[in-house]
Amino acid sequence: MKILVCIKQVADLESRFQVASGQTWFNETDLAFRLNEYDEFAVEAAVQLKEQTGGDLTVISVGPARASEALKKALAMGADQAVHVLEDQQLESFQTAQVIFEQIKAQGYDLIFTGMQSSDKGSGQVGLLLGEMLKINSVSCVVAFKYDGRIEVERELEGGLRAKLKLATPALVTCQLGLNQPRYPTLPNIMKAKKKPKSEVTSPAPASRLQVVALGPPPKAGAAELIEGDLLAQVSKVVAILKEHKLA
Amino acid sequence: MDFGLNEEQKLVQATVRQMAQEQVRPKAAATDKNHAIPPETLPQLAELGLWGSYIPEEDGGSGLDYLSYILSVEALSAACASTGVLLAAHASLGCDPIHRSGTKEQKAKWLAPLCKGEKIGCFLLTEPGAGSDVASLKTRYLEQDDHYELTGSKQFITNGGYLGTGVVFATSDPSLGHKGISAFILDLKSPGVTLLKNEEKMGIRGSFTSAFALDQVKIPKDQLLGAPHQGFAIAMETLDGGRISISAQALGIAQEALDLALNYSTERQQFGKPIGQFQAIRFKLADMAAALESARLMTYKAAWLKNQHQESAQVSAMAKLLASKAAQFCTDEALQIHGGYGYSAEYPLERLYRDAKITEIYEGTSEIQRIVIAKGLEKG
Repeated sequence: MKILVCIKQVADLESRFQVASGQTWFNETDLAFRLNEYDEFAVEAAVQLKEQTGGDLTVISVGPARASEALKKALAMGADQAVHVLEDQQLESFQTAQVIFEQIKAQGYDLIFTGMQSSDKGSGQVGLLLGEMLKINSVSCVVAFKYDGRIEVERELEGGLRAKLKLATPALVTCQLGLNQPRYPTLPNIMKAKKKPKSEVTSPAPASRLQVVALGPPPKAGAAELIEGDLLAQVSKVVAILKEHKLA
Repeated sequence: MDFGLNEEQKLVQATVRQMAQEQVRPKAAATDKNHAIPPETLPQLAELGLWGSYIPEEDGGSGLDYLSYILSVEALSAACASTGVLLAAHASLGCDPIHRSGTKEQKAKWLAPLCKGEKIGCFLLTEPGAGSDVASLKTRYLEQDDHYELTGSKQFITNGGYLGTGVVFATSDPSLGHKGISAFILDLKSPGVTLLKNEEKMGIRGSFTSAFALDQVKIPKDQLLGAPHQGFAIAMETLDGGRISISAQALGIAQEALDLALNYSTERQQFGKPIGQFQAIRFKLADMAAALESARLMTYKAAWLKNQHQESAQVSAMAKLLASKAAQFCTDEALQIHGGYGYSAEYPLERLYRDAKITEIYEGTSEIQRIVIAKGLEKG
């Protein structure tokens, strides 16, 4: 089985984001970067499938030089080889999907995993667009995954419902948080990851169909109030606030 | 010069940090209170490959570079100082001398199980009457036909309570001073080895600090480590490395104290604003950050040198002196910033404060570090 997992390196959400006036992306200096959390579930699902069926697992990422760290993590978690499409620009979803499509269209992957969305832009589109470009089955927001010749997944719906679906390969699956328990890469595997094949390629992105006009924090709403004191005092304060706003 | 970490180092740091924050940190207060590291922590360290640290893969280790190992001890110690020293003593004091001075057969028999965490490593040098003055140790060994026989006592042995594998030092003749000392690999479950007690301590309470009586302990000849009477050199080289790992433990404690203080100073309101807006607090935070960062640079330099096989006793001693001082200073100031809450056992500061103190004492007191540094000056 040929398996692909698409990942993105994103800024750690605990970073302090600063956007210079007139800019449409935050200043990346001094920020810490990590493998997109959703993609960790995708990598884990892909590694588990590889362990189950054997086969070959490739990881791909589109991003600047630093994204190599995220690829290294996926290799340490169990991917066999990595493809790094070097791209310094901030691409929109369609552009990213198109760039990945150009790299993989001739590869005939049986299963492609992506995160449901990236934690920095959150469009949730790259996986599904890629599925459409490849003209294969796609299913999003997956919280359970099984494979026994066919794919069986569960999707998380609004209102706490879960839909169970079956579909045939080739297919693309976008992974929701909680799909599995992403493993820690072991230290020996981290050291071994540097010996795994990793190719760097460039691929011109198509023109963007969107224009980002501005980026910034939302206007400040009312300030949060910290409730302090012992437990009883805190509870009394919360009850008073709820009553004041006619919520209790 | 390049002060950046490489990809593997960053990934090791992030991985150990994540594991430590998720699995170890929530149990740090209980570890202190119960005077024991929870038993489930040991297999968790094994799963990650931490026990194998910087020992090469061909010897059964995890093959980390030395700085990655140091980053691991730092990340683990930020979560729990007792768990940090469990790894530091195991790797730097238990595994390191066998790795450096052991034969191929000794490595296969003793080092490989240590690297898997099947045995926990320790280092039996200190005695009731021989602390900083190592050469005055009294544990004697007699050479017999097919074995050595050791008799004496050992004290303050970190990780001793696990009864794993130790490197033990003894003299053939106390009048020879440091020239009479040999090193041996010891299975702590051997007949004649008696665990007298695990000390009750001010800090790092989850860590075993054990006292042993050795009564005619038979050690097979093939467990002599290095050459006869090479023990003092083995001990000193081991401690040079051990000091870097204790520096890393100190960095972890100091970082945790700074993080907690920073967090508290933005949340705690007095006189109508967060206390972090008062210069008195800001200056404390600035001094803590500067002390921590300078100690970190020195520690990483010592680790980098060791990785290049350019170990420097002087640089390691400087790292240990600075880092333990930073840990003591940062925990003290962080506790002060927390005021009454810092003194309360409901907050972690009083534990960090107690944990920090040991870093100025073990693997050479700060006074011993100064002696090592000054000796280095004379050579130059």
